[in-house]
Amino acid sequence: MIQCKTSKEIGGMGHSMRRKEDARFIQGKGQYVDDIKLPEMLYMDIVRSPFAYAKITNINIEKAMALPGVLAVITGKDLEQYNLHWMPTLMSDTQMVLPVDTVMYQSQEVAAVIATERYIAADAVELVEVEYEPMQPVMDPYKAMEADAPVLRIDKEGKTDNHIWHWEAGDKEATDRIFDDAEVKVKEQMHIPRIHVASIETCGCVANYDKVNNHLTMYMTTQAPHAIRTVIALVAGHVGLTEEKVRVISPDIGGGFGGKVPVYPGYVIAIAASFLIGKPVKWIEDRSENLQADSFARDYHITAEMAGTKDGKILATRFKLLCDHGYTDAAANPSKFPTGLFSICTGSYDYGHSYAEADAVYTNKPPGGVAYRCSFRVTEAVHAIERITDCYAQEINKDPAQLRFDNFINKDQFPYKSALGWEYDSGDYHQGLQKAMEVVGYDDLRKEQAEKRARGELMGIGISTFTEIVGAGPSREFDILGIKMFDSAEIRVHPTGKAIARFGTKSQGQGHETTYAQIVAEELGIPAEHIQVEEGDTDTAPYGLGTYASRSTPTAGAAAAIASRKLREKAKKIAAYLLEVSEEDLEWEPGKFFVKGAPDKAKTIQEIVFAAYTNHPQGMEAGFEATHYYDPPNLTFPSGAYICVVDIDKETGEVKVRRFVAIDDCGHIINPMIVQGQVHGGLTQGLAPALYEELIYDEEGNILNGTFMDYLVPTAVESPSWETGHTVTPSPHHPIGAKGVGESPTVGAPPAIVNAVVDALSHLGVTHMEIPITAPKVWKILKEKGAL
Amino acid sequence: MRASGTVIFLLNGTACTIDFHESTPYTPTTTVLQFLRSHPQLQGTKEGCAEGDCGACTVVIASLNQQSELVVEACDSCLIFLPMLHRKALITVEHIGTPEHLHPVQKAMVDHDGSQCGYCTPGFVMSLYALHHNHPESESSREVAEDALTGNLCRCTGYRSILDAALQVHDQASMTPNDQKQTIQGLQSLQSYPLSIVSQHQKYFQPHDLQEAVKLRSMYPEAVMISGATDVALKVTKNDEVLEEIIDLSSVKPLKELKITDHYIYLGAGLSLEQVKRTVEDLLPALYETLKVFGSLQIRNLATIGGNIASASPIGDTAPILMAYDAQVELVGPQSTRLVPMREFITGYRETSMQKDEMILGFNIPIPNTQTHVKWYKISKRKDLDISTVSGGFRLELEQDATVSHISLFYGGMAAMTKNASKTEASLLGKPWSREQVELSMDIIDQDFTPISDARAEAGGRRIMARNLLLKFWTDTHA
Repeated sequence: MIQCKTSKEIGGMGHSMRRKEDARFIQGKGQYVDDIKLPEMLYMDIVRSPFAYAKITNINIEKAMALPGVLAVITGKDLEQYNLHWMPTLMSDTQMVLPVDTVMYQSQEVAAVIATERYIAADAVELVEVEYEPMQPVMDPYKAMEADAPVLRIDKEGKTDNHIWHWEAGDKEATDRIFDDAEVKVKEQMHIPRIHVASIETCGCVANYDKVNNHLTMYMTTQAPHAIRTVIALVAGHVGLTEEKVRVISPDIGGGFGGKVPVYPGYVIAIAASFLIGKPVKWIEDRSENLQADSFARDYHITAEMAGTKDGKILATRFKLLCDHGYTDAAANPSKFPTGLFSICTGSYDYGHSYAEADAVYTNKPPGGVAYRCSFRVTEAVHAIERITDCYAQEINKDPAQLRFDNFINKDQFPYKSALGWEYDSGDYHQGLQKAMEVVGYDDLRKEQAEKRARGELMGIGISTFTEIVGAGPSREFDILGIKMFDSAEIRVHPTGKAIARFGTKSQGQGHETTYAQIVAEELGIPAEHIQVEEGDTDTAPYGLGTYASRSTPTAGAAAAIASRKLREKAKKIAAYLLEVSEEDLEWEPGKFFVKGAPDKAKTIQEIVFAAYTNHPQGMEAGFEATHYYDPPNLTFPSGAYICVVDIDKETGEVKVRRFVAIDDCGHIINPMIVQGQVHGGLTQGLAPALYEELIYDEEGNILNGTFMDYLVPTAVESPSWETGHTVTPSPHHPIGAKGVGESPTVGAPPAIVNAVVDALSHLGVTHMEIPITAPKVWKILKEKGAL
Repeated sequence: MRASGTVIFLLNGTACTIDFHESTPYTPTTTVLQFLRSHPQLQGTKEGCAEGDCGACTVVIASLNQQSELVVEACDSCLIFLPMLHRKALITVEHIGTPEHLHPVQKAMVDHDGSQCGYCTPGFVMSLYALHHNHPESESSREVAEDALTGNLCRCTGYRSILDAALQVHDQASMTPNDQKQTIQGLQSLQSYPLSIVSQHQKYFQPHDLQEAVKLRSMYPEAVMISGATDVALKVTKNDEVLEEIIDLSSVKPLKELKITDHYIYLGAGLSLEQVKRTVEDLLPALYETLKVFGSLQIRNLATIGGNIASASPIGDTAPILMAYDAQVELVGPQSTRLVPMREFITGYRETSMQKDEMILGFNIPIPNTQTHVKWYKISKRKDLDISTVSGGFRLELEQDATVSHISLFYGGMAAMTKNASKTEASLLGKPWSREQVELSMDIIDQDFTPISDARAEAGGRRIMARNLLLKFWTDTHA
C-alpha cells in the first residue's frame, strides 16, 4: 500500500485520483489539431513518390491547377526560391522539405497541393504529373557500407560513402583482453526491426500566417512545442518569422510515443503555403502517409557478446551496432549521444568492463531511428543485454533467475558507476525479481515446464530485469540542437487559493493535468481539483523541451515541486506575519502552517494566499507566483523485473502469452492508477514488436505493409491480462523521489517474451529468435530441429 | 411509394434530411464520418484510418427490424455512405451523457482509467454503448467484451482498463426505456420511400422491393452493388474513385430472408455477417467459427454474406467454408432465379458466374449429418480483424471402416481465387483416414497450387501452411 501524506480531498501524491482530462475526452470534447477550423482555411495534400530512389525529370501541375478549388501546387523549385527546400534535422543533418531533382525514399513528399477543400486537394494530388527516372535503391545497411555501394547523399559536399557517424564507449582493449581470457563466451546476432508508433491520431497542423501583423500561429501535433518554435525561427527567421512572431500551440495530442517530436516536411510546407497565400492552411496525414513516411523507430543490427566464468559470473560485454537511419539522420537524440543512451547496455549487473560501438548508415528508407515509446535507444540496449544474459545462462546451463541474482548490483552499491560511465542513482534489483518470482510462482512453473517437456509440449518462462535511464537531462551533457534539456514549471495562485500551473512539457495521454496538479497539491496543500494545469502554448507556458523519453516527471515534475516549495517559503513568511510569531515557530502540515505546540493557532494556505493579495507584510512582493527551471543533477534509473510465461502450439507455431508479471520500480508514485495505466500501455507496446509489428520493404524499396490492414497493432484480444506490481526505491536526487515510467514496460517486455520463447525451445538447441516472433518462424525452427 | 432523392434519418434524436443538389457539400458517397467531421459540434467522432481498421470513428446506428424491434449496432462511420443512413437513427458520442450525468459507460471508462490520450476514446465509448445495450449486465463476459472491442485500436492503455470498464456491472441500461420509446417513435415517424438520388456525377438507388432492384440492375449493368459497402467504401476513401452508379440493396426485404428447415438453412444475401453468425452457431459450427474472427463487430454489423461472396476475393473468408458446406447460390435475374453450386460460383480473381443482370438472392446450405466433419481454419498474424494468409474450408465423410468416402479441401490465399486441392482430394478418396496417408497426401498439395509471395507470407510459407492445415484437419477429425 502506498502511504499518502495528504487527505483525499487535497489529493496529493499516492492518490489514485480520477483524471481531470477525462471529462472532455469521454464526451468527445477533446480539441485535436484536426478539430481546429479557422475562417477561410485551406487544405493541403501531398504528392508522394512511388519510387524509393529516382530522378525527377519533370513535374506538370497544369491539370491539377485547372481543377476548380485548387489554389496552388508547390514544388521543391518553388521553395528553392526562398531557400526553404532543405531543413535541418534534430541531429544536425539535413532533410529535403520538397525535392528539387531526386527522391530518396518511397512516399517522400514531392509536391503539395493547396485547395479550398480537403477532398479537392486529394483529387488534385492525383492530377499532378511527375516524371521519374527510377534508380536502384540501397535498402540493406550492410550493402550500403560496401565500398562499391552508390553514394546516396551526393547533396553533401565531399561525401564519398554512406556512413553517417561512428560512436563508441568503454575501454576496448581492456574489454578485449577479458574476452580473450574468459572461460565462457557467448555471442548472438540480433535485429531490432523497423517499427512505427502508429498513434491513433496521425500527424498534422494548421498553419495560420497573419500578413497584417506578420505573425504565425502554428497548431501542430508536437510533443515539443517550444523547441519547434525555436527551430521555425531559426529556419524561417530570414523571411521575417522571428521567434516573437511565432506561436506554436500543441492542443490535445492523440498519442505521440516519440513520433511527434521531429519536424516533418508537411509542417514546413504548410507554413510556407500559409505565408505565401496569407490564409490558414490545414494539413492532416492519412493513415497510409503516417505509416509510410514518418516517425520510424529501431532498425538496429546488433552483435552482442558476453564473457564470464563457467560458474556464472559476468565479466564483460561487447556490442557492435549497425544503425539503419534511412536517407537522413533525423532521430531525436541529444546532440552528444548519436546513438542515444545505448550505453545503458551494461544492464542491471555488476561487472567491470564493456565496450560498445555503433555505425550509422544511409539507405533509401524514410528517415529512421526516431522513436517508439523509447526514443533514446534504451530498448535496443535492454534487448541486447537481457538476451545475451539468457544466452550465457543457457550456455553454462544455469537457471536464468539465479544467474541474475548472482550478478545484480547490490542495493548498497548505489550510487553505482557502470562500466560505460553512468551513475545509477538507486535500485533494488534483488527485491524486484524476488517479488516477480513469488507472484508468478516461478518454482512451480519450472516443475510444470519439466513435466510438459517430458510429454512433448512446449512451454517457456522468460525473465527480463532491466535498468532504464530517463529524465534527460543534466544540461551539462544533454541538449538538442544546442538547447539544454531542462524543463520548467510556473505556478500562479489566485487570491481565492485556486491555482494555474503551466509547464514546458506536453502531455499526449500521460495525464499531466492530473499528476502535476497532485505534485503541487502535495507540496502546497491546495486541492488538486483546484489546480488547473496548462501546457503546449508557447505564448503562455514557460520554455521547456517537451515530453518524450519519460522525461516529464523527472524534469518538469521536479520543477513543479521546487516552484511549490518556493511558494511555501513565501507562505511561511506570510503565516508568521499573520500569526505574529517567528518563522521558526511554525510547522507545516499539508494545507496549513500552525504554531508548534498550538495546533489551533493556524493559517490555511487559502488564507495565506488571500493575504498575499490583500494583507501581505510591508516590503514583501505582492502576489503568489513562482517559476522554476529544473536542471536535474543526474538522470533517473527506473528498473523492472518482468516474467513472461508462454505456451507454443506445436502444430501451428503460434505463441500464446499465458501470463506476464511486471514489477516496476519508478521510485515514489504520484498516481498509482495512472502509473498502472502507463505500464499496461507500455507492455502492450512491448508485446507488439515482440510478436506482431515490423515494417517490411522489398528490394525495390517498396513498403509492403503500409496500412492498418497489414501493419498489425495488437487489439484487445491479443493483449494479455497484465499482472502488475511495484517496488519503491526513490530517486535520491529527485525532489519527490520519483523516476520516469512511461517507457519502462516497452523497453523491458520484448526480451522477456523472446527469452520465454527461446526457453520453450532451448532443449532443441535454439539460442535466439528474431522479433517479431511469428507462427511461421517458430514452426520453421521446430521443423528444422526435427521437433515435429 | 414514390422514390425520392432526399435522405432522411435521425441525427442524435432529431430528424435530419439531406438532398444532393448541387449546392450541398455532400455526395452520395460522402461517408458518415466525413459528414460528422464537417459539423463543428459533431467532431467527437475521430478519423484514425478511414479503412475500418481502427474504430476511432465508431458510431451507433439504430434501426427497426422487420418485427419493428429496435436494433442497436456499433459501426465504423468511415465505411458508411450517407444514403445508407436512410430511415435509421445515428447516435454519436455527443448524444450520450452530459457533464453532470455521464452515461454509465463513460463513467466506467473514467473509473477504470480507460482513456489516456483520448483520441480513440469516443469510438470505444460508442462500442461500449452498443455492447451494454445488447448485453445488459449479467451477460457481460470477457469474451463478449473482447469481441465488441476488437474493432477499436488503442495505443495507450493496453486495453486492460477498457475491458475492466466494459465488465463493470451497471445498474442502468445503455438506453433508458424512454430513450428507446422515443427512438422507435422517431424512426416510425420517418417517411418510408425508396431512394433515387441523381446528383451531378453520381446516381444512387436504394430500392425497396426485389423487382425494382432487378430492374435497376438491368438498367445499370455497370453499377456497383452494395449492401454493407465495407469493401466498396475503400475504393472511395483509399483510392479516391468516383463511383458513378450505385445500387444499394440494403433495404430490399427478400434479401433479409432467413429460413431454417430440418435439412437446410436458407440465408438471404442481405443478412449481415453478425446476423448470420448468431443464427448458425449450433447448426453450422464451422461457419460460426469463421465469422467469430471475421473482421470486427463493427464490420460484421455492416458487411453481408452476399457481399462477401460476390466480391470473390481470393482471401475472402466465407467462400471456402460455404464451398465445404456444399452450399448453393441462388441468383435472381430479370426472367427467373437459378441455383449455382457454390464451388462453381467463383470463376477467377474477383470474378463470378453471375451474369450482368443477376444478383445474389441467397444461399441454400444443407445441414450436414452428424457423421460429416466440416472444419474451417485460418492462419493470420493477428487472431481477429486480420486478413487470412491461408484459410481452409474442409469437409470429410468416412465409411464404416474409416476410409474416405468424400473429401473437399477448399483453400483461400493459395491461388487467385478460392480453389480446391483436387489432386490432393483424389489421393485421399477411398484411402484410410490415417496419419500416414495424410502425410503422403500433404506432398501432393504442392501440385495443386502455385501460391504467391506478399507481405503476409512467402510462397514457401504458404505451402507449408497449406500442408499443415491438412494435418490439423486430420488431428481434429480422426477417431
